[in-house]
Amino acid sequence: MKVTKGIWSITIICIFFGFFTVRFFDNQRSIVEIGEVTSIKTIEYLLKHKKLLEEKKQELDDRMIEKESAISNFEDVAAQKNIIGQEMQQKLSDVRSMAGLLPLEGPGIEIQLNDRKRDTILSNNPSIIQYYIVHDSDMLNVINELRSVGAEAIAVNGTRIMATSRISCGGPTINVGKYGRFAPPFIIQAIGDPEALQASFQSSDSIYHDLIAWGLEFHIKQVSNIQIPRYLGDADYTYARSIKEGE
Amino acid sequence: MKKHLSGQIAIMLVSLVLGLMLATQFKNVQNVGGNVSLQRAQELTSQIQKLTQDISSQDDIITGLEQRISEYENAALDEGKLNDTIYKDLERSRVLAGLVELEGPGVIVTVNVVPVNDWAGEQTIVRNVYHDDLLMLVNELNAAGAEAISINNERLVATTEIRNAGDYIVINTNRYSVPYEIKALGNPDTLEASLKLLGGVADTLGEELEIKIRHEDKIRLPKYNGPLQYQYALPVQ
Repeated sequence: MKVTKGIWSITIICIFFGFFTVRFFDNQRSIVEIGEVTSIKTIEYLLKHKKLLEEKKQELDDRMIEKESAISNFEDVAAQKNIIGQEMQQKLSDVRSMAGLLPLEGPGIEIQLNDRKRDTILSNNPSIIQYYIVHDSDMLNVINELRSVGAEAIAVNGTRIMATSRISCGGPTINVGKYGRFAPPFIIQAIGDPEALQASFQSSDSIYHDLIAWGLEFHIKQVSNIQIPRYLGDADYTYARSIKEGE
Repeated sequence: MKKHLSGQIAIMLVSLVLGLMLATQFKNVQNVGGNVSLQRAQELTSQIQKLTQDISSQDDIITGLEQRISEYENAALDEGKLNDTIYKDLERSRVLAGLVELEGPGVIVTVNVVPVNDWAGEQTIVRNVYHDDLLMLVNELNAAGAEAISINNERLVATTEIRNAGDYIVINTNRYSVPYEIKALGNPDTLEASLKLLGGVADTLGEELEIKIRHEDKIRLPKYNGPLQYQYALPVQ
């Protein structure tokens, strides 16, 4: 009789133990909310590959800076010898800034653009999901609005935007310029008057209101110093030929 | 004896259930540790892609810089030559910045409104041209490899805006109204084909606007006439 009583109390304790074990592991699992999965080996491989490329890029960056400073040394020497004046040197720098050949820095804003977060509304309407994601046309409009209030240099995810940079749909990604292909979130940086740049999105015809209404993420942050890289890409014209003044 | 047996059975059952629970949970946890979200892999893949592209274009740029350095070195002894080299460099940058007139083959796209008679028989238009229409056309031409573009003799540069202002559209801070004439230099066939894609921009806009596209062997593009000075952006030292 006594033995049976002991067994029942053990049973109850075990049930509680089992229940809490499940709860414990369940809690852990819910933190790692995963959708589609891929093996951890792939990730390790990708990370290693990325690291190698980053080292290579760093090396090239250094070499590029070295070469560019060698050229500006020549220009400095020329300026000292009064072969070219200070004015000419300033002009070179201005024109190169415009041509996207120089990395620029200055005050401005940083915009983070992202799809709507998964929530109940989103999962109820799979058919109209297109309204809840960032499209190429949205980004084009954001950039255009920045330009209209005097942005002097713009970059999307570290890619300098030039006159001929296309921004087009690439399925789940957005293609920016000739080479860039990005998935959200998108970081749009612009150098210019931070107040004016930010205020442009308050105007009633701004795309900002449309995107916010659909619940997309659109965060604007004023930054006192933004660095925008130079334009990387070929600068050779195959079809266009320049015309000399007065031709 | 009978009581002893029933006790054993009870413990066995509890242990069995507990064992199963533990096994399932461990399997779940193992899954999480062994697998990672596909999104992370996609993110990494796109970062790698960007790096590869950057590296290959940087290689090209460095080759170009080395060439310029050797030009300088050759010119260093001769003051006149040095002047020439710097001037050449300036010219090259001016072309890229859009400060030089360009000429070449390409397409000319004219965008105009379509006149109709409304219910009262009065003449009106289907709709006006908005900045989105022009942005779409320009973006499509860029995607097709246009080397330079102008709208109504405003050269498009990196900072050019195309924005509605009432019935007008502001381009490079100047106001324009219909008809709009977009000139693009590049491979004429590629440029035209990209616009005339089935269901493409010409089809979409063509429903409410008049879109005309024509090839030209020699198009002349104006240079950018806006201000050159930067107020906020400075070259990184």
